[in-house]
Amino acid sequence: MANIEILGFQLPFTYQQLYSGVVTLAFFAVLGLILRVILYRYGVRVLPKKIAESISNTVFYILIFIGVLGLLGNLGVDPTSLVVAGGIAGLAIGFASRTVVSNLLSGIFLYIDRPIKEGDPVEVEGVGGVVEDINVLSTRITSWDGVFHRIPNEKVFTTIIKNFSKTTARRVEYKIGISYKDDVDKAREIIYRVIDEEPLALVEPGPQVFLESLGDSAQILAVRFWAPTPQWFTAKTKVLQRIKEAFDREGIEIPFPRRVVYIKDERDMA
Amino acid sequence: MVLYTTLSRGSSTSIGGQRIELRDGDPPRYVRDGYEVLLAGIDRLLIHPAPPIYLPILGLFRHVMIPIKPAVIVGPKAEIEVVRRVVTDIAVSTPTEEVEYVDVFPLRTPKMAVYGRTADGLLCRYMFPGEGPGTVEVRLRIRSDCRHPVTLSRIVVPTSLFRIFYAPESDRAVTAPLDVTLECDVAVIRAGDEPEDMVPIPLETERMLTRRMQVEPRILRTVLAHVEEFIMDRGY
Repeated sequence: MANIEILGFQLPFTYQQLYSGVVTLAFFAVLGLILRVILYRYGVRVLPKKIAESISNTVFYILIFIGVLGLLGNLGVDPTSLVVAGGIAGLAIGFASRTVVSNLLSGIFLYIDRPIKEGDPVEVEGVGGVVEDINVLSTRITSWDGVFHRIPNEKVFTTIIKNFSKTTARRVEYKIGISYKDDVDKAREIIYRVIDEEPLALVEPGPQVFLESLGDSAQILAVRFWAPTPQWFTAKTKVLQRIKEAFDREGIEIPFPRRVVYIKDERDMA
Repeated sequence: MVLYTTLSRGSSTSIGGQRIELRDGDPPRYVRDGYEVLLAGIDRLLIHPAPPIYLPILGLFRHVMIPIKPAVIVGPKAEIEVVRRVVTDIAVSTPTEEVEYVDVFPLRTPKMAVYGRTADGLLCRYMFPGEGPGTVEVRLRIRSDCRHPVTLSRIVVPTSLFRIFYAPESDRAVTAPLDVTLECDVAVIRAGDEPEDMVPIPLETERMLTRRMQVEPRILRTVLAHVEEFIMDRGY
């Protein structure tokens, strides 16, 4: 069979080769489309949407690539050389895109492990804020002061993540120093009363107030109570202020650091 | 003492040391300790117990924790009826077909408690024991199906089962009796029949609460869901 001729140029393949090449490509394209739909539909049941989307798209493009190889093979282009060339190019791209792949895999593991999700208040890589989005390459966080942060998933996956919404309640803790002349029991009673009057401080687990140490200038009381996680910060700030106000009312002194200095008289030394 | 009454124009009352009044005027206004609401087309308000889902944080509670002091040790296959009174919140509502709460206030500092671990426990509204006006009688019919004695020091009940009934023009309020079956590792709780000669407290509709809480209806439904029974995991 004669080769195809266009405007006097003779192409190196016949109509039959072109036809079978196109059929091969079409076959893989249709197969890819079907597989993409099936994989996505089943994938979203067990995997996060973005992961299912990525997997189904990847399978689709791999099949399209095989279809193109089939087309070129039918047209007389040696696919082996293409594969070798593709392999070398792939190796080069692979080295270059090592970070991208690492981020991608970390993103997938983050989806599976789910240490954080969108809307969680977190601290990642020293950035505290709310998770806005987790995509396959990066995690986006808006910090408490409203600044947008994009953190590569590789870093998120390998660093320590603090998720402030994972628990039902969080403990608030203060160290409060009172003067040595003040009664520890009275101070404890005042603190317990303040905590009891605060709706955000939990009854169970109960609060603890105890003399923790004897400092240079003050008796140090440790104050611990629990608050619902979303209201932790509010409880922490409210109660401390109320304790200070109650101490002021009741005459409990929060002392400044003091140092007694003895001045040696030169004559005594003589 | 008449605690749960109707507040008509120009009248006032004192509840738990707080003065509440419906001031006459055009328009009339509801006033309590600096909190004010203007009313239009409403000449009277109802005072009654409030469900324990408003305070201290609206909509956060799916469960209430009722302390049982002194604790009860229930022997194998034994039955006991325990009656406790707990302090309730007070609601002031419109006497309309679709109720709107004008005000909800506590009679003592409303508090919360975690049942279980702080990591993954249940956040409950803590119901303080109390006596006298402003308290609700809770009748617990406890039956043990367990082969060994069980100590019951507190009980966690879904708010949907903690249904409050009251007698208008009185200070009497009760919950539907709670049937508690102890099955060694778990307790199953069911709400009993509605008490006679009492009326259920007027409740805000889901639509109203959704608007008030500014949350999606599906979140609210989890709060109001009518749960027939509740498994308390080692919940004694």
